[in-house]
Amino acid sequence: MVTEEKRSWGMVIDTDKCNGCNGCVTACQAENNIPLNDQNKFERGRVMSWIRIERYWEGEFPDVKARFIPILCQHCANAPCEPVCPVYATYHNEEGLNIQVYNRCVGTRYCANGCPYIVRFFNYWEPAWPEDLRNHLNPDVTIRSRGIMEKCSFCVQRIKRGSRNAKEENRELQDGEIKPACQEACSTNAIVFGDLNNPNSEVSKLSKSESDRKYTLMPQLNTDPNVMYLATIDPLKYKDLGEKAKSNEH
Amino acid sequence: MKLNRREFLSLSGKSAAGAVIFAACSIPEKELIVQSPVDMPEDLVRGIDTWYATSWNEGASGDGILVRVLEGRVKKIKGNPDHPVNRGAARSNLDSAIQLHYNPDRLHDHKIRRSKKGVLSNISKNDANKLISEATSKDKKIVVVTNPTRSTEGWVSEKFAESRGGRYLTYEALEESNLYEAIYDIFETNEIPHFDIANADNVLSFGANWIENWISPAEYGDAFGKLRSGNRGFIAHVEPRFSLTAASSDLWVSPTPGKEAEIALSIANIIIKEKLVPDSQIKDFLNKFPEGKVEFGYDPHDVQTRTGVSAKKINEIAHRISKGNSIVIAGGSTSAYTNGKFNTYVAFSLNVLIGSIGKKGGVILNPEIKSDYIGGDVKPNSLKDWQEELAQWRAGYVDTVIIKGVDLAYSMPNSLDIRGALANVENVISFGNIMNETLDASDIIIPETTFFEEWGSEIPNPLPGYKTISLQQPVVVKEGPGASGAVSYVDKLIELEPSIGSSNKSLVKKVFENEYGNSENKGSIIAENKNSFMNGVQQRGGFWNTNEIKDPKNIRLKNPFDYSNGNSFSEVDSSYGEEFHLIPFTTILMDGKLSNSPWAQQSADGITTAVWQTWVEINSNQAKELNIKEGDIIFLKSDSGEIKCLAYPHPAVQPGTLCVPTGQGTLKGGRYSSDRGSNVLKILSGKSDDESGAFAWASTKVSLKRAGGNEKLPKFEGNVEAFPAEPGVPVLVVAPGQTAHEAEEENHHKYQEMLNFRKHHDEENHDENQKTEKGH
Repeated sequence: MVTEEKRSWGMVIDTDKCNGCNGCVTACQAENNIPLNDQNKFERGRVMSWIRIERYWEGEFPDVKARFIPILCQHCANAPCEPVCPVYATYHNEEGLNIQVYNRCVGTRYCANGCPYIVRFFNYWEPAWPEDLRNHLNPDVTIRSRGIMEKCSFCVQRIKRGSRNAKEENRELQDGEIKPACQEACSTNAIVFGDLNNPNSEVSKLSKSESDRKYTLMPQLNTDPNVMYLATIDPLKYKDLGEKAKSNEH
Repeated sequence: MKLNRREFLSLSGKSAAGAVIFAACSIPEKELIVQSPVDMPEDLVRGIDTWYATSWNEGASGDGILVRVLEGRVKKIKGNPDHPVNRGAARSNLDSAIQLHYNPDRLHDHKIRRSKKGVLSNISKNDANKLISEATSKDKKIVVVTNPTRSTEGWVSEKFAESRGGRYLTYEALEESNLYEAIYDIFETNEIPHFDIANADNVLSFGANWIENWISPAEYGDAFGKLRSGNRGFIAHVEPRFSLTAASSDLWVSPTPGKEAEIALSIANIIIKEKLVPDSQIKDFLNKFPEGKVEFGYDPHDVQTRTGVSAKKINEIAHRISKGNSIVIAGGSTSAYTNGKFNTYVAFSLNVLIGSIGKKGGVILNPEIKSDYIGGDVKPNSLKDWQEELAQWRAGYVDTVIIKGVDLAYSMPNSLDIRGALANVENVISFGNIMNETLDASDIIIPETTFFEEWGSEIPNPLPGYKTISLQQPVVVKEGPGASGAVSYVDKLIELEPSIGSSNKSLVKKVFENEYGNSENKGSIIAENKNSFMNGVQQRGGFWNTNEIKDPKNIRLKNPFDYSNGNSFSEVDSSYGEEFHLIPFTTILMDGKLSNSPWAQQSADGITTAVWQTWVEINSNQAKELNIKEGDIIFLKSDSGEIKCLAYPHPAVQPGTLCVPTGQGTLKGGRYSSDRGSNVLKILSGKSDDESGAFAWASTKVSLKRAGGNEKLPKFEGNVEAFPAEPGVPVLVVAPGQTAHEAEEENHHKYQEMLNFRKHHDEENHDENQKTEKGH
């Protein structure tokens, strides 16, 4: 169980379970009213995606591997994006979230320049949905306007809704009760979210019991992220099976 | 004190400056505890949301889903954790379905074409109903066509066709009828078994892209996560194309297309020779084959020569799957060659050799469920069936065709000439949500409800090992936003033939009322009366009974070498020459079904990250040889037509093959699907498997022609700057038992060595250059 005062929201992503299906990406788009990414945005390098799957190649055919990793705001405790904001539009809250206050943001983009993980996105255009598609917009989430910055919020609206439901029912929040959209959509359970301060939470256990596989992105920058990763396991890492077929090489 | 204006301004300025100087000494305390200062939507609870348990027949084969409805609108979809098939897991395409419901191009009106050469125009519902009644009267020869389904909808389609003495057929673009044929020959059942991947130690898959989109990807995604937990399981995948399953496997082998069975037989050969499994299993397996065929004909080194797969890899797989709980599955492209049934059969028969049938972590046979008011079939009609059927249409022997849930004109290859066939049918009546090629070629168009507005019941495919019936229930009203004028397909057929039943809703209720009567209060819902039982079904999203399982029985293998095309690979030989072997594959867009959803269009392909377009995957080294760069415009020509694609070279393509996704290139769609990409389905050769008549959709050869231009390929890759290139960053890879720290250290050492080598190399070059300069 989680007591409200001591929460520190965090996430553990097991890259060994990520199969690169992009389900988390679409679920995030749907939950957070992220503007549609049309072909033009891809061509101009202006895609908005609070979570993305990066694919890295290793080797050449036939001994080739693709490695996948979901990247989102790391909700760093020492976030480089926070001190550079001249209007305190991005700050760290008491629950370990790196919060973006849209109605404070004046669009300097300093935070995006400061973020080494490149997970902050600027609204170059006013977001637009055809009238019918506006029906599916989530009323729990602000529609951001042109000229401001946005990024993953760990689905703060779900945290708020879940916390209030628990308070109304006069009970404490249970571990696993709040799931961000990406975790909910991950069919392989590669993403686990919860309170890192609760020693009994799954995320807390994973970050400790699986600590032999645990790593963070760019630790040399000392950003102290609240998103941790578990390394991919390759059972054949040191096994040489790479002999190409001799007589019928492709 | 009296201050004039000048003095007042001067003092104000000084005190403001003082405040700034003072504040600069430390951060004001109030800013350290700053929280969201103004209520944003995220801070408020807006209304009460409701989650309905339902399912999606056309796109999710009976998975249980939960739909969030707020203010009468669908907002979100997630997997139903209560449902036994997918256990809360969701397909990556689920949310995209919402945009089909609220699509700005959704059809609201009936349309009619007065003559075959005329144009479509709106018509009132009443006038359309009169014409539909005439076209479907009892004296008409009628054919009903839908997507493969085993549901109330399928039952009504069957009954309606029967009532007119007609036929009911199903079509699937990249069909899997060989999978059903092979499973029947081995397990004597029409049901695809439950593959217990979650509890397996080793999985060997042939062609079946089960992690991405094969048969039941939500269920298999959940199983993949479980397999990779605890005692981590091992996955080997055999497929010429580098799919997401290949990418997620521990060992990918890419044989020459069509030679998958050779790999399977070679694995059997090693297991038998080295006696890796008990003698009884070996004898049982060998009895099915002509003497000597397996033991001597498929030595891994010989197979290496023929398939291009190293003997070491074949050997590794044979040893892996002989231990622990192992399972072999096959399908997808493996079953889509002219020898597809043979390939699939041989691969599945390995389960007999490794003793995985009926065991935990193995192949669990499913019961054959019979239910009144549920009909149709999940096995699609074969290409042969369709060739015969379309000949009837062309000859004018069919008066009326009713089409629902499948875009025949888009998804059939040119060789079938579906448009010519439709032109010779007097009345083509189509149901649909958004315009597509088939609707465009129809005489009457009926705007159809979506699954959010409709009742339905379905037997999932595959079952989870026991009886399960999924419920589909309306979660928003039919007259809601975006849906005015929509008509229920089932209710329309009932209206035309009232003897079938009173309504779709009543038929669905009858399905579950029968279950109430038969279940004897065993199963997922225990209720005192029918109404309470139905309430339970609506709350849980269906009914299931873990006691209704398949009776275990002996497996009797057939000799696969008796198949007429057993070992004939001539049609699919992929030589490295002017011709390439074309491998079509499905993405999130499916067979174009989701191409009208912008979320589906913008969902990056897992391997290439390409979006919104049609690309062709080509081996990067081969592309270099052919001077092909990313975005180069390429024309692919087969014996069935020609398409334009943008090149995407990458290192995981088998040289000699070209891989093209389905889903784009519709000639008539909504704003999100029209005028983009090409339709690869059109250029597939009309070849079939002689043994089964199945469509050999992976047996097409194409020639490649550069058009001379280059366009920017829309893709996610490159939108974000790559991380520093130190090996192992950011995706750290460890060996079993190795810690992240150890791997990081090892990578760092490698990186340093590489840097030192480069430095040394650069210095040497520098010295060399200086010497050369001096010499001159």
